Amino acid sequence: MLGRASPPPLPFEPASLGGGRADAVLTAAGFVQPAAGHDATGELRLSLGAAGSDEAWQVALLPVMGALATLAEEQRPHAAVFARARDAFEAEVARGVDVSVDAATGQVVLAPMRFRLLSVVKSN
Amino acid sequence: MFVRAPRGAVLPFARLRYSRRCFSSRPSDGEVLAQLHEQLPRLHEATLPQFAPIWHAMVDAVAAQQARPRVVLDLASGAGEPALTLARRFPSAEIVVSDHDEGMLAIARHRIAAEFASPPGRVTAHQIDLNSLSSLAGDSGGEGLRCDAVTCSLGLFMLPPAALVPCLGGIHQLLTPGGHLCASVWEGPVPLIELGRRCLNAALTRAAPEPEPEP
Repeated sequence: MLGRASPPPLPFEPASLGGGRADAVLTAAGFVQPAAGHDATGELRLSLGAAGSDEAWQVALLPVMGALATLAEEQRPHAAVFARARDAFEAEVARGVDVSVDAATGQVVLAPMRFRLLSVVKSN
Repeated sequence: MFVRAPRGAVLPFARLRYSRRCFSSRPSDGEVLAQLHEQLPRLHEATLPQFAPIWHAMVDAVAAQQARPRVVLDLASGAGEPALTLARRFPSAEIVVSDHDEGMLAIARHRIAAEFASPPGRVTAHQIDLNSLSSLAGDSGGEGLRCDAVTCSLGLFMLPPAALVPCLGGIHQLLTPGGHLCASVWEGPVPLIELGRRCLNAALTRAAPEPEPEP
């Protein structure tokens, strides 16, 4: 049996400051003047490594590796937390929604991600 | 970016430390952790450059605001970005690389030593917590650090909401009048994080644990 009923929650929401939601907190902190590039957006495409490689699943799971390590330390030695996480990753690749194999390169690629710049100045 | 987070959440090197004998056909968790510990610098090396579009957008924004910043503080730098990209763009600026995770700082220091050894002290790495910026600015006495620009790539969203305004207030204190804050944040769904969450869930709820090995 595994020792936990649910995974440790990630203590953040990745897009919590996107969509202009950061402006209110910037103002509250004293930043009232936007600067060059404020609210500019861009796209990021990540290649994780060759399909089936260790590198692909390890890079993909870097954001939760600490949580996986915590789980692994809490479980019995043979709980195979990482093996199950890898299996889940390979299933996600096969599903092909957020992550898939680029047929041309054989690389596992993530769906594009977007970022936004916050650019403000401190008043004189 | 994605290699840093509040303690216990993302890739703390201290957690990648123990190893156990493997008794089954699949690698044990301890073996995977040991392997990851060895592989991390290489994984970062392979992955980091793919985030360059974000760093270049940030550095362009800093350059558009200030032609010659004297001191730039990069927060939550992880393995050293966009700080080292800033160091290349502004060769006369003092660049402060920072993160709360000593393991990440070790990677950053290795990169600094490889590229920015001369002149010594122009690019430095320090352990700085996003929750203690006011004291860095001199709130608790002393002169305090002053910066012409502060940058933070994909780091602010990791703060709990209640800590965000105090952190930004600390950045405001650190900046000189007219100083510039440039940060990058995720916009919309983040497949990298969502994928990780689903795999983390699956690690708990999927197949039953493997049987204990025969003695």
